[in-house]
Amino acid sequence: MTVYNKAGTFASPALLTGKKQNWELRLRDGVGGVNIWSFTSSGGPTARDDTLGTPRQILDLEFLANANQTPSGDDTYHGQVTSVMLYSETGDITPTSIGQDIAAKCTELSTDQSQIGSNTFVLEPFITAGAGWETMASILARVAAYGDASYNAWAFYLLESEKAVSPNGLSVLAFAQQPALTSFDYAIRVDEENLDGPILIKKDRKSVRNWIAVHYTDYQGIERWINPDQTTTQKDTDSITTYGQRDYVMELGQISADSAWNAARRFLAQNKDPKFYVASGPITVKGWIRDASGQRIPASQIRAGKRLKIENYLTDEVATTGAGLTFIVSGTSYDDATRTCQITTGVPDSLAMFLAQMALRRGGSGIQAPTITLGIPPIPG
Amino acid sequence: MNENKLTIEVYSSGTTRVTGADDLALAEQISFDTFYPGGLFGAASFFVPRDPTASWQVKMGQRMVLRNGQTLCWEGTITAIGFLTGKTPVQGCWVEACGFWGEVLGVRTWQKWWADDRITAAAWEWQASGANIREDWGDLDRDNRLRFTPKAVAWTSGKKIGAQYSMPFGETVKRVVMVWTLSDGSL
Repeated sequence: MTVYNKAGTFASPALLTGKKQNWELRLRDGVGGVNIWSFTSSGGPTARDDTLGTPRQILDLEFLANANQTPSGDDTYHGQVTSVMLYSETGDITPTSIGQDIAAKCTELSTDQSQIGSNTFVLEPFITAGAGWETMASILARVAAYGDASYNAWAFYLLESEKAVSPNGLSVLAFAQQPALTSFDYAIRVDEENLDGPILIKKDRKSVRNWIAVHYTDYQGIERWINPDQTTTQKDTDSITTYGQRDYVMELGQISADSAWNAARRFLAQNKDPKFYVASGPITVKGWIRDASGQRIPASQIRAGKRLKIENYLTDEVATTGAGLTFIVSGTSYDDATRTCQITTGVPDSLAMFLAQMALRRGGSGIQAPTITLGIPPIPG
Repeated sequence: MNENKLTIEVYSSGTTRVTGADDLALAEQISFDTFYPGGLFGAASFFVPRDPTASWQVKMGQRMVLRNGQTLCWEGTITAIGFLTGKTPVQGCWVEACGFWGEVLGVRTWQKWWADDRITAAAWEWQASGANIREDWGDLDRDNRLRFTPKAVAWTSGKKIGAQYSMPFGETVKRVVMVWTLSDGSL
């Protein structure tokens, strides 16, 4: 019997609609003329992880007929891939590996990569912003913003060229966890002679949040709420007693229930008490500052990235005599004419790491890019 | 006691100091910034009283170091030199400089997709032409997957539909991870 398909051409009875047909799904290196993989009969879902023998700029995903045949036009015949990830490197993509890539790409930097610390947090997916061109500074700032697997804050920076194993005048890219505030590098007392001008340190209750509701979507696509009144872990009764109930609703997008609870607890821990901050602008020291052992350091040698402790401020508030307040030095501005150094301070934000990592897992939405500082001098007016 | 006695060093290349710029010792109004994260060295500037019309070995693009004694306080590159002249009590040169974070990492760019999970048309381009391509013979569904479904037309052996992934110029795909499924009607 001769059988014709809808187009009027001959078709084998065995290959008619609803029967097994000869289709092939393949990932192909068209330049090399080889298949990365190819399948010709029903199967899957099956995971593939292929490292290309010859890396290629272009790959083709193809679905082709291996016989003259007419499909049904519905889902009976199809080929598909999911959980797609294409890599431009063979190893895991981590903050460290990206830093090393950038150090190698920028020939204006030292080839010494010994100062790029090991951070194995898997940073996938990760592409340059908008899939387009992005400055190296911006890439590094985004990478560092994810912190590490324990939500510690990390930072990229350039060390002086003399830090290279073989100094040649090229700066050395460094990547390290931001220093813990349990110790310090510089110290001042509010009544110390080298302190130039007043310091206004604020402890502000306006930022207190002690009742944390959470809105998220689970992986089944169902919207969920965590109501702090149904649990003891999403609110802090001591803080509520002291400062009144101050609510916050976290919008977390699509994450697991455990991650949602974890995020809320982190947020509560970080915001249930008023925070200290220097509200008067930079702290100015004249001539020198003390180091951790009490020795004088010239003001011109004060450097960002170190820790500054204010030793005798509100010791009753931190409940430990002499504990003081410790900040990261986020900026310095030295003026040799007056021999003064203006010190700007800040603190690492572990919650920001946590939220950034969650955003990465759900596709990078909802998190603002970190502010990029370049330290470029102003254009004269 | 002045514990801050800054000196200025300028390098013509690598670790080779510029010679014939002894008037750097006269520099005044020296200032510089550091910042973190990023940095560490931001902007710096100073003024050197001198005849601004005279030749000077200090040039834009040269590496500059500020030291206090042996300690390096700042390092970067000279980005601008201004010549203060005319009716002014003091003539000389203003030097502005920038740390390498801004001058290298702030001006160099990269288009690189370290790990790319996009399945949009921007990443996987539907193939409208090419050897044995029949774009009208099937569809591509991008709803959390890349699914090819052939249309009910008479396919001839060797014809195909497809999508193409292209890394940016100069970059290559080195590793591919995906989960495949094929249905040939036998299930």
